[in-house]
Amino acid sequence: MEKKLLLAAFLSLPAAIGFAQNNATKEAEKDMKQDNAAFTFTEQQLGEDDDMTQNVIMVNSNSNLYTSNVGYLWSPVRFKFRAYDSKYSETYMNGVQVNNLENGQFNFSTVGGMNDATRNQDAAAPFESNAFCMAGIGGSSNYDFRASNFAVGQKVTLSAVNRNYSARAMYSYGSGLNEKGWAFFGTIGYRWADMNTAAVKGTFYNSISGFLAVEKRFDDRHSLNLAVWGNHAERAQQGASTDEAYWLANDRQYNPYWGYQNGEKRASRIVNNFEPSALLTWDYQINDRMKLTTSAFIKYALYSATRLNYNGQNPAPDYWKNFPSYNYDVWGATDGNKSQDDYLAWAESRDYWMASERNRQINFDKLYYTNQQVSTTGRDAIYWIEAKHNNHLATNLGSTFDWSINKSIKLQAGIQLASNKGMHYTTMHDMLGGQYFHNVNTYAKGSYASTASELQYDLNNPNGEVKEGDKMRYDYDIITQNAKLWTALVFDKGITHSFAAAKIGGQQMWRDGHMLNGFYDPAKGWDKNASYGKSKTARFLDGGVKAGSTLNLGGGSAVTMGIGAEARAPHAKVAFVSPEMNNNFVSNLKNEKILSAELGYALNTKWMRMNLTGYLTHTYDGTEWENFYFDDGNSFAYVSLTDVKKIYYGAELGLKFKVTSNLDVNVIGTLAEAEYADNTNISYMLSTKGTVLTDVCHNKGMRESGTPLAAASVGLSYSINRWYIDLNGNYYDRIYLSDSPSMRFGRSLAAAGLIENDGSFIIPDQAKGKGGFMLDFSIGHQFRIAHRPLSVNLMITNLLNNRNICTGGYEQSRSDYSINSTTGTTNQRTYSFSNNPKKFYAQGINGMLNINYRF
Amino acid sequence: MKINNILSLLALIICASGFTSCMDKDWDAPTFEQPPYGNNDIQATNVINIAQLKQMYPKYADNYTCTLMNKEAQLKVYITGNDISGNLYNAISVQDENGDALIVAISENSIFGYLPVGQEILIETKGLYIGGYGNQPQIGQPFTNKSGNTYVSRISSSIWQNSFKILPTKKNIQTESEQAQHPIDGATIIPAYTIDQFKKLDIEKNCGKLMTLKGVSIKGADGKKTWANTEDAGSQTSVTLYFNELSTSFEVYSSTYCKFAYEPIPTGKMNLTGIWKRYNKYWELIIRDLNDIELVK
Repeated sequence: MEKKLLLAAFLSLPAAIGFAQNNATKEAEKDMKQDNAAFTFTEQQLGEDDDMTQNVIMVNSNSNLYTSNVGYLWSPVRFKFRAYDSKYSETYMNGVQVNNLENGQFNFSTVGGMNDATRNQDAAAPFESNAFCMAGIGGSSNYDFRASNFAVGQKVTLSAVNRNYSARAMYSYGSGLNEKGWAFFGTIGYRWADMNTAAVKGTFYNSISGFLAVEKRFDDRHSLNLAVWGNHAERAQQGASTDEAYWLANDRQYNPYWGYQNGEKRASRIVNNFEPSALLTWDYQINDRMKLTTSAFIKYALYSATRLNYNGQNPAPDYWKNFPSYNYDVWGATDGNKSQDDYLAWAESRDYWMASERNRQINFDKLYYTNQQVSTTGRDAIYWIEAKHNNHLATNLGSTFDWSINKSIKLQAGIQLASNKGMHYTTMHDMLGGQYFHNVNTYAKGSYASTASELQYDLNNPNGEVKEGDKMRYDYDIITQNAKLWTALVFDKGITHSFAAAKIGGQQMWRDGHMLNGFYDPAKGWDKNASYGKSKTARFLDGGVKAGSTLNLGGGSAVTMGIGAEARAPHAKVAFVSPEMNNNFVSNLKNEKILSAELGYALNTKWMRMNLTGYLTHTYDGTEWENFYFDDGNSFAYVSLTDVKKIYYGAELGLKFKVTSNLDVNVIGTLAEAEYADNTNISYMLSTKGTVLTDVCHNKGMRESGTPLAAASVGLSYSINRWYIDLNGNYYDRIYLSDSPSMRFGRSLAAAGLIENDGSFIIPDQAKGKGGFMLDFSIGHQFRIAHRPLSVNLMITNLLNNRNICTGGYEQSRSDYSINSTTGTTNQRTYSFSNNPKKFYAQGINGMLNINYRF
Repeated sequence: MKINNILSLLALIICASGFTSCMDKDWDAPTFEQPPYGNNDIQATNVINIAQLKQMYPKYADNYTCTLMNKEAQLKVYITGNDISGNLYNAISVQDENGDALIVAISENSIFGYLPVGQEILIETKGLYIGGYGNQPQIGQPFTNKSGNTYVSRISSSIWQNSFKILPTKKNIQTESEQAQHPIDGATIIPAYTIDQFKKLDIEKNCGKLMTLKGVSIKGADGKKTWANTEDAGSQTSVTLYFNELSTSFEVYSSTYCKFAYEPIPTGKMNLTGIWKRYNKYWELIIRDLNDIELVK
């Protein structure tokens, strides 16, 4: 059954369907909510970074009240559906899957700012039948980019916002299908904030997007649709920091990523993203019962993210040695400095932080001065801004055959072919006044003689001079190819509506290195392709089955159930030990296995609608990959976690009461668990050594982070005479921060002395963030200007200005002790990394005024 | 279909693309009327030299003694050593016009980036501390270790940045050999001593100075032995080496974290330049970087 829903995840539309409202009113309300919701999703909740640490699933459903509302309602705290990684959610466009093959995620910046183009979407919750795939455990969605399906007419939207950006303007035009079989749709959008207007200091936003679609219906059977689009976004990022920094800055939105240069504000971390895409679709109505949809998709994604790097004093204003608590042991429990002099040093540092904003931001003038000084003696720049590039070329082909065998049985089958070439390299972005820079591993300099090959990032060009724009450190491609067949049978029998689906696929991947890292010098016996050239090819066969059923018990009651089993090939992003250095695959790399089940009860009466769902998902043999500075190795480290076992379970409730014809009461709630079910094997490589070490990460019980695992919402929705008022009270709790693996390595626990008398380890508790209550309000009205609708809507989030709600963050991968690399003896540090996780907090009261006019 | 509308939209996209130029512009280098480091408000109201400072605070070299410098006085000195290779770590060495020397301990890395050798600075001594670390006079801040001993240690970055001023003058400093090969007019020549001359130097008067010891070789140097690899360091983070020609009262100190830690030690005779600190009764040479090593032909 094809469900032609608008962006239903953003809507409370499903509940409204059963109630008598005139069509125009519903359209207007829908329109306004969509605008708000699309804004919230694409700009605030969803990570737009290619290397995002926080990503969110945009799950959707047409039949489940909880699923269809949850993402929109809880977007201010970056709620993740069932705490899943977004790689478990599949995104399609006209039937072709467009998740990035390398990491499994879909980057919403691809379609950012083109809200009118992304409204038409089919969606499927994890155990809902659909017309385009076997849905993932995080649900699936399918954008409809056919020109004839867009709203006819013109529309102008203007928005004033105080969030990531300050202003937005959009224009769209849809022609509808004319008598000659042609249809056209186009939209353009611009979003803007500069460093004086953005809600978070030191950030800006500059994005233009455009979308064009042309469709030609040749006859009743054949039509072709071509859609092309792109969103060029340039934006400065906000960094997480510690509670100590937020206290010193007296600002929960303190951002350490910017500073002053010559008196002007300058951001150090800027993301530049442009993903021009094209999608060609052939719809073939074979006969009344059979349909074939085939789409070809191509995208060339350009993504770069800058960061300030250094070979000396860390220039970050929130570097740990800059904090007052570096001088004095404020935690008491540690064996740090506690003398009167230490206290005075603490107070002095505190006063310095608080005295001036400039004292707690980057001082670019100092960086230039230093680089200019060292350049006079021919030395390399100490500070520079580099840009990490993650570009990719994706080509995808998807074809779906849809056959209504009879009124009760429907068969779908499809094929998905995909290829992705990920191009990864770093370039010198700005030498900050320096004259010289060479492509050598300065971090390894103290461990090898100056002539050692290990110091070279590229032995094919040793000591290569680097100028602005030149590649440095690493340069490699990762090629991934995937083929998948799937089929689904949907059938009605008696009181049941059921489906069964299956898929089988194959994936292969390899790395192609363009630099010969000095740790893999063929002259020292390494294989000539250990770092440079093509790696071996890893191949995986995967697949899965899934079935679900709805039992209509009568009287509006229904029981829903679903069960699935799946094996997923590992993504290339986690498949290599150290892709920046060599061609080696992670040992013990295998398919991740997923078992999932769901049981629900639904009630639909004239005055009430309810969904109550319980779910359980178990994953085995997963692989994860991280990289960070590892204190105990005194080096940057690449860490692979293998044989990962996780468990996800919980209950979800959606409830809607119709109090009067104008007033609804909505209740949404979830209580969830999502954690490592066992300890994890790890292998890690130090960038200054090039050798792989193994250990066990004692992370059993560590929970998924960056999302509330408990949340509840009560809302009032009132509409009368084209006025729409919504008031929602939301409570969030059980917000965990991303756990640091290195803090729980067996060796680290031993070094920290975290061992019981019986020899077992004492595992540090996972850092948590505070939850809390947030009140959201919106009011809108639809006017008629020249017989055309003009909608005005004001949405205010966090009306009570609660700035204490943590939306995510991470434990620092640093140790509370320093370690002697020869003897293994440790010295307690005064600064406590374990007590200073980095956090993000929800923005205080914020809002958007949105006006749109259709003509 | 309204072709005009389509064309208008296309034109709008093209125009808008032109207006959305990058926000992260090409940044011009700052123009420095004053250095961005240090405290440019420091006034030369009472400029003193190191000898005068020592007179003001007689316990300047006493171990486990930190004397708060409470008199307004500015020390005018130039940099002789910094952390360019990390061997002199969290510290600089300074000398005045008379050649007297001091160590200043600072809780910063990459000090060499703004205080290159030869740079003249004013240090406002009031508020800082002076004391001995192994009887080596040192300016810093008090630190009490776990044994309850207080000694002069590193000045926090924020205090240090408020306590000095970069002067517009910079000295050229050359070794004897450099002066012979590439003479610079007016350069300050690093004093160079033969082994016998060096043995006779007064450690109290000369400790902390930038000096050259001529014609020495390192015990155990075999072309493979390095200055400070972690295996030789054992449980320490530094390696102490000795001279073939001198007693163990003369040491070469190298940190395992310094940039030349894994460079092989030359086997022959060398002229070694560096900061000659004292550790109680021992001379301790801190080589600043590999340029301090001159092979004797």
